[in-house]
Amino acid sequence: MPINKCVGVGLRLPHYQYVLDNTPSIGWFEVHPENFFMKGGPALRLLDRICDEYPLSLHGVGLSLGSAERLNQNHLKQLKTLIERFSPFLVSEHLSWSRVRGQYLPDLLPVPYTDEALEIFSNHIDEAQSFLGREILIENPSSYLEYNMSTMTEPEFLNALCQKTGAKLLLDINNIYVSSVNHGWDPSFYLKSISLSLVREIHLAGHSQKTFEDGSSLLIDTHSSHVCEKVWALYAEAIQLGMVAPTLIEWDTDLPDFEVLMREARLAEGYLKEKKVAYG
Amino acid sequence: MVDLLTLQKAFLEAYEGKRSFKDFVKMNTVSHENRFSVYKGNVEGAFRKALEGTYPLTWKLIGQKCADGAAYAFIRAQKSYPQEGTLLNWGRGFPEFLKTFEATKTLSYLSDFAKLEYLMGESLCAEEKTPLIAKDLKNIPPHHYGRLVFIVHPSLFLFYSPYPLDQVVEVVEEKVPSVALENRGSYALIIRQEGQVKIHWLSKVEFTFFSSLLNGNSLGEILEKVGERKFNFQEILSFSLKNGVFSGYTFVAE
Repeated sequence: MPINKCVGVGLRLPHYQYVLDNTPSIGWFEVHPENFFMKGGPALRLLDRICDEYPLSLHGVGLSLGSAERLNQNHLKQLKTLIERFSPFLVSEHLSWSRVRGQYLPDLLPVPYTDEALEIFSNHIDEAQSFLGREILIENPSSYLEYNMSTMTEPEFLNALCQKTGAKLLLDINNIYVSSVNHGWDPSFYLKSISLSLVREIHLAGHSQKTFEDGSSLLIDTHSSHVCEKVWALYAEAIQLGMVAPTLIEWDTDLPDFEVLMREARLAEGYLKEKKVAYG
Repeated sequence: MVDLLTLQKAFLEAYEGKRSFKDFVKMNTVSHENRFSVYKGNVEGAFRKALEGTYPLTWKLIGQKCADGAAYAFIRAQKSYPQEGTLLNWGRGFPEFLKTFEATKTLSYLSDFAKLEYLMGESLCAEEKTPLIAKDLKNIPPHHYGRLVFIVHPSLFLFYSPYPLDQVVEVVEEKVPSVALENRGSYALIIRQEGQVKIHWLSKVEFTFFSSLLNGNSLGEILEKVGERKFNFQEILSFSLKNGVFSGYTFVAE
């Protein structure tokens, strides 16, 4: 099966042994490179074994491409070391920042969609792609606030970023849904605003709802549950628009048995097959 | 419009509770405080999870609720954050903090236990090196033994505590249900063997021997310092080769 019709699963530590023992029929795996920034030890060896059996994608969370400060060179070097060792078929990062004053805040913090941020982000992507010697994908984040200084929409910013740098997109359908609910966006309009040819990977995940004391609420990208019906519907819409790309099931919190992730992956494959029928 | 750096510094200050982030947030149905609180919660939650990942045995020893409480207090007392974009083995200062945290400060051994656990994490992630085996040493002429300097394996760490941490480890590993702590210290040699970290409890003399090795002293210097008669060199050499303590050797100049 071509890789763009394959569904993968985000691989987390509790499932390593199961995967190695059972070699389940799954298209590919994705891991966070930051969890492998060590000099040696069993985690790296386990990943060697996974790579012997499956295509691998590295999905970064800590490079902080959206920081006003320069990129952390040590982080880039460690990422490159992993790329050289594991030869991932995809390398991705987020449309976010996490470093200021040289200090790291471990979350995907929102970037304002301004000309200045676009310039800085583009320069950082250029630097990363040049250093790593390969194209990277940028993922749209779930966000919980919008900046009043933004002058572009998120899809406009992403399209411009890719146009300036040659980077491609990792489109997280759940994140589109979560941000749309949180900010009153139209998720279908968001999808249609994305340049089709840029999408190289798709993410699907579950989310949860946080209700505050004043009764207001936000959706939170917790990766802690099944993909909801509305996200599946949006995924189907993306496929119908022609966004057929390697798709990943993410589940990080309250991790279920691996079989549950397999069932989610089979569901996603079903959507991809429907597309195949519809378009021959 | 403020520049990106000013905005990001303001975010950090708002996270630390030094200012409001209201001026930057597009206002609508959900308040800026609630929106910002999600990020604050995510950051603190990630730090807490990272600490639990670094100190799983400490969590087991004092219980989830107590450990989480200590973790959040530690995170909020932080004067600085990680410099790198990874939380692998993050939280080196946590054991010292446990000495001051109200719910744990009476557990005098706890801080040392957590330090031991931190070193176990360091050992697990240390560089790969093939350990020496007996046949690697057989061609060394006996008259050169005194000049021999063993290079210790990168996963080897030594730790001394004035508390009997071996007893605490036995409780955590559920080998015994509880224990009356003896009034003595403990000497640990931590090393990764076949992908797992092991702790070997040493005598004081053995600990001195391995400390001297770590300091790069030659065998002759170590035997002079420790006193050859105080331990069985053949035994300690056999232990070292069996447990992968050495990853190479060199000689000091004559």
